[in-house]
Amino acid sequence: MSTLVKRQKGRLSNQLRSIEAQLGLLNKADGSAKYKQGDSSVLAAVYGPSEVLPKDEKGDRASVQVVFKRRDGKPGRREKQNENIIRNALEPIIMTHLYPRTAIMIIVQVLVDDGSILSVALNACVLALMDAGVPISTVISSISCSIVVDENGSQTLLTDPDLSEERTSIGETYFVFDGHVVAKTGEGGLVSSVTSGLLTDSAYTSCLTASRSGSKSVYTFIRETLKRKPTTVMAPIENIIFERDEASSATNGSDFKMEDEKEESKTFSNVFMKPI
Amino acid sequence: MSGYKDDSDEEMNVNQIEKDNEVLLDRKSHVQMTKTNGRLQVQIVTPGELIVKNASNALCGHGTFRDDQDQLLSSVCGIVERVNKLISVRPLRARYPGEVGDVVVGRITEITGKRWKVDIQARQDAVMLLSSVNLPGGVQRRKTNEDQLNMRSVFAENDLIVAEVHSRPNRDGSLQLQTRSSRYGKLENGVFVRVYAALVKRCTQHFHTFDFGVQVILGNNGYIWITKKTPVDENKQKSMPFYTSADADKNEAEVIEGKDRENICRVRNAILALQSQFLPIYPATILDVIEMSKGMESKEMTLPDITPLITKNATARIQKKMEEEDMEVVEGGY
Amino acid sequence: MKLEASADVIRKLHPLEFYKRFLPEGIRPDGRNLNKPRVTVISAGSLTTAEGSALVKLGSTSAICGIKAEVTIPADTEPQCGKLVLSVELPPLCSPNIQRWTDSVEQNSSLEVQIEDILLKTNVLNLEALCIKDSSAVWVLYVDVYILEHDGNCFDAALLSVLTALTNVKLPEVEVNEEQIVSIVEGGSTQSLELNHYPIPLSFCILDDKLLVDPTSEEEELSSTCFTIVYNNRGELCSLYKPGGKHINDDILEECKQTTLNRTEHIVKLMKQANEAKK
Repeated sequence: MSTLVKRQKGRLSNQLRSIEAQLGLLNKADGSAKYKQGDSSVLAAVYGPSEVLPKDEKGDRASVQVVFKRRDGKPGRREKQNENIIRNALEPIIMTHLYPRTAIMIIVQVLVDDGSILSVALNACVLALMDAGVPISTVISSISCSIVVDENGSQTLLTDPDLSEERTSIGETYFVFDGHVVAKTGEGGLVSSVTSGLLTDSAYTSCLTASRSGSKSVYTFIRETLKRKPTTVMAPIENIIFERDEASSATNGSDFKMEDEKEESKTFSNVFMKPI
Repeated sequence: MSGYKDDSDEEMNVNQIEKDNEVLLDRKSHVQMTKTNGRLQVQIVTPGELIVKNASNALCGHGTFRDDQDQLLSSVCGIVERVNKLISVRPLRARYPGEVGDVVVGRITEITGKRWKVDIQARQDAVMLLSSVNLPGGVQRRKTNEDQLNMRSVFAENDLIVAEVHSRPNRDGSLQLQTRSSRYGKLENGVFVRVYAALVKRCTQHFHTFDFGVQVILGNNGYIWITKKTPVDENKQKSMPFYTSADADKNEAEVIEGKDRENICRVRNAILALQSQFLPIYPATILDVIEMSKGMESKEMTLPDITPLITKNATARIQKKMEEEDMEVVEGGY
Repeated sequence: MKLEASADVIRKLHPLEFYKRFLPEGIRPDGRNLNKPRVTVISAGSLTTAEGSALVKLGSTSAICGIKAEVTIPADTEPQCGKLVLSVELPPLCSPNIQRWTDSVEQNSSLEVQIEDILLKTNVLNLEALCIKDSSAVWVLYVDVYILEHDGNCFDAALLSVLTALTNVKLPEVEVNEEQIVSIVEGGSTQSLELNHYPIPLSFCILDDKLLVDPTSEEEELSSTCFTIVYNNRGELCSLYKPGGKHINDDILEECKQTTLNRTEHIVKLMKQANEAKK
């Protein structure tokens, strides 16, 4: 049994890192976004709809291509798999039928990898798509969760893990949720899920629920960033504190449990929202 | 509210959605607004957001789509516009789309066979054909090979020009420009400012002169040119159709100094302040900002804590304008 | 003159409409119920040139896996661990959509990463068992999977073929002499590999809001989303892979997890039978 624990850098186990976003950084790209969660930061750029190579041309819709680049190292199959995952999440929400025989290119450049990099990359891509004005049917947001085991063998769930936490985890999960569905009904809306490592059923369900709550914060942040009047100077506007949903419904009475903490403060995360 | 309603507008109920969250339509600019806490604000939507609950009668314009439950949702981030039954969402941040007749300021990027390529902050560089410019001499004649070789003497690379959008896009989507009037041509001796294309509204006049001797050209594409007001010489206008590169080489650039420079600086900073608060840029709002910033130095105008203060009047003007407009309450929102 | 369209023509021109005629009746064009996977056929040890091999067929989808063992120097960071090098390929012969080897690069990488993550991150295999001599010689297993025919759900077939092949790998007994030369012991015993657990996959897709188990390639193309769940014989979740597509509700997810779980025993039994049959 585990409760909300304090992590290395003082975060609670269900607390997200601070989020920052900057839009429209690149002149030539149709849309671009630099998105940071804690120290993990990714720059995403969107080009298109534009000319497509004949071999990729699709007669009735736009062809969505993703390129995922790390800071260092040769691009290998992990990068190809990340491209695949990102493209699979974004292609269905982009209204590709409006632009047949064109290509929409999404370039992801990892600037700093401090954990949860695939989630950070996907959120950056969503912001970049919106910055480019590419029509999309809904806003999706992504959160990762890790399971770590302590000396006693009890498992703890950590949302938005950083690199050191990921390295010591026994299981990692990555989720993408449809923001509107989650905002409306509070459940369902699972667009993507990728797991690695051995997880018990209850561990997975707890990760799912915790990530769903976390994705709400990211979703709200994304929407506010775009609605907010763009200012040319970066300045922290305000501390946004989100209500934490009780994840007690996730417990199945088995070895994994997140405690109710109605007595303690209900802050989910202190998110510094910086405008573009 | 005037009661402009016909039978087909039945789906648009006069309902208060959520406490103070009414949705209103500014009939003049066709932009939807929300009234939150008594303040009118332009309704900005994000993708997937609900615009109209029952959209069976509405026409889906750009930036919208209909879902399985017949609701109208937005597909881009932007401002909701409604003209009768056509509902569309105009993206805030997209590149300049271009409309025929718009006045734009652009920079020459390339000279290729019989055409100039001009950067106008659109998806692609615009094209200006040799046949779309008036050659020195004013006379309309067929362009010869010599003219083609002398294109650089008309406009060279990196020149700034003001032109008009001539016709709808080429096959690949690029716009065509023309400078067939004495008002258009090469620009020099001034300050260039870049803002979001969405902030420059279409008006009757794009060349404005302020009382304090500053002339400003508000390009619809978001490129703005500020210069010193030149005395209009009627005779001169007729003989020299428009200002070209060759003319620029001939004349010596007039040195602008002192008060004029200061005024040009103020206008530039006023425009940047308006952009930072995402307010529309037109002469009245620029004047508002300048009025409010009279006490301070022009370089202080761009500081982040100052801009909201000096744009207060401009914001109030926009609010007032919106409130005075003919508003119609429509169903919408959540 | 009336133009009558035959079922085949409708299938080619309006595949979604074609399926919509079947699905409300709870049946698919190949006769299966919506929640019935195809018949799984597993055959072990078919390739005599490889140390371990297996052929798995799920309906028409077939995958063949061959494992070759070689000796190599271990990595400095893990001197007691052997290595596993996985390669999955969808050659042009398996599907009309793949015309060149380059067309399937992304799919290959995706399958490789998925299977590798399951094998290594859930400790299916004890890599220490592949050690010959600490810090000087270990076995490296080159696992090659070829999808011979792609009629949907390649992942399941590929993973099952890898597992079955691993279970019938026969490593010869070897010895290392002073000059660090490894040689096979004449008449020595063979070493089999013990799997710590058996991760058994099952793939699903949602077509026209209906859940289908083990989709064919036609169903995969028409679906709004596809996902795979992998449970092992101990009831632990090894992977839940849903890269994207339309969102689903939690109850559908629960249903699929249960279906996958219920099937693990049957498949493990099939694998064991295949290995027995080879002997």
